[in-house]
Amino acid sequence: MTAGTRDSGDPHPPLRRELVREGVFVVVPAYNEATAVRGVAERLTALYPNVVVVDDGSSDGTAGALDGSAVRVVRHVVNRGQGAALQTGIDYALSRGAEVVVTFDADDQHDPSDIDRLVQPIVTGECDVVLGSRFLGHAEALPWSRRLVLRVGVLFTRVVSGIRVTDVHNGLRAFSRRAASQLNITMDGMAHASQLLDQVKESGLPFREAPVTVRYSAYSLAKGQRSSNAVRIALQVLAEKFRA
Amino acid sequence: MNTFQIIAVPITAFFAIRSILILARGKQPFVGSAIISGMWLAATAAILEPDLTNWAAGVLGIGRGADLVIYVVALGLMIAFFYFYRKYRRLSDDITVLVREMALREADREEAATEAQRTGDPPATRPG
Repeated sequence: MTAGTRDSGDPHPPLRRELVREGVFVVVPAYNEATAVRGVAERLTALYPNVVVVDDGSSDGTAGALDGSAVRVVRHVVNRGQGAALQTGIDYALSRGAEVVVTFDADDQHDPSDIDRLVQPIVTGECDVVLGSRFLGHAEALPWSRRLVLRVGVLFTRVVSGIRVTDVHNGLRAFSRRAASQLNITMDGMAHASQLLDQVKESGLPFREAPVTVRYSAYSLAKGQRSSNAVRIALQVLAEKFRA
Repeated sequence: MNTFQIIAVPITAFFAIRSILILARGKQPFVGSAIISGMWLAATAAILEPDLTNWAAGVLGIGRGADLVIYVVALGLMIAFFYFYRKYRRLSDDITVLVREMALREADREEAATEAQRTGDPPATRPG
């Protein structure tokens, strides 16, 4: 397995000719994000034509909030979890001929302009997977308790999975078609992030990290995972390893 | 026989006979049926002759029959927990697969209908 390398490029690298935006599919799993999803979708579609929002059984009209927008919407009839929604979006993107699949959170924490930095190394063939890292980039208004939990998560992943990365729960990632085809996320909840890393490692495909910006707001903090969920996620990861 | 034996033995004996008949019919998985039959027979025997548990405990090097019963029950509960957890996970995975399949088929259908509206042609169905 090629160890991750770190991209220390400019904050906004110029778009290279090789980057074919039509081959890039941005997958946005969303659950009860009616407030934020429209704005996120419009910022994404301004940069990339193929944006797929997977409505994971929302009850707040998330899909309806996207009516008239340029995004494609795929709906789960019942809520299955972010991991399940991601895999659905990845399957959809691959069936529509995606050459690069980007995963992006729906809660407005990510910056769409970071996507180019993740996609470029894949398009140029340098690697198959690029993982966003807020600790290589910027984590604005990150509460100290969340920072501590994320750091412990990094250590846990190194010990349990043997993967050395600086950010294990960042929803902004990019996969080549080859890498995305090998993904099979079966952990439906938030523990899918750890499973994803395991599968990236097992695939043997080259991966790297890239600096990204994650912005915390009162909305995203209220909407996102509580730090206390980290224990449950860790137990789920361990249980899955025994189950396998 | 004491009052507990009078109440419990007919119940455990009933389930023991029932499970043996199910085992004999061969319509359920053999191992599971055999384990359940053995469990009810052991319970019936242990209630009828409590000294049997002391004898079994002695053979296994455990102090008392009551300790043996506790260990067996605890072990059985742990095994049952992991069995049902695996079953729950399999069912949950199957539900996700179904939900995904429905979502992707609906997306195919909607896109085909949109395309048909745009071109004026009848909706096409996407292969596979």
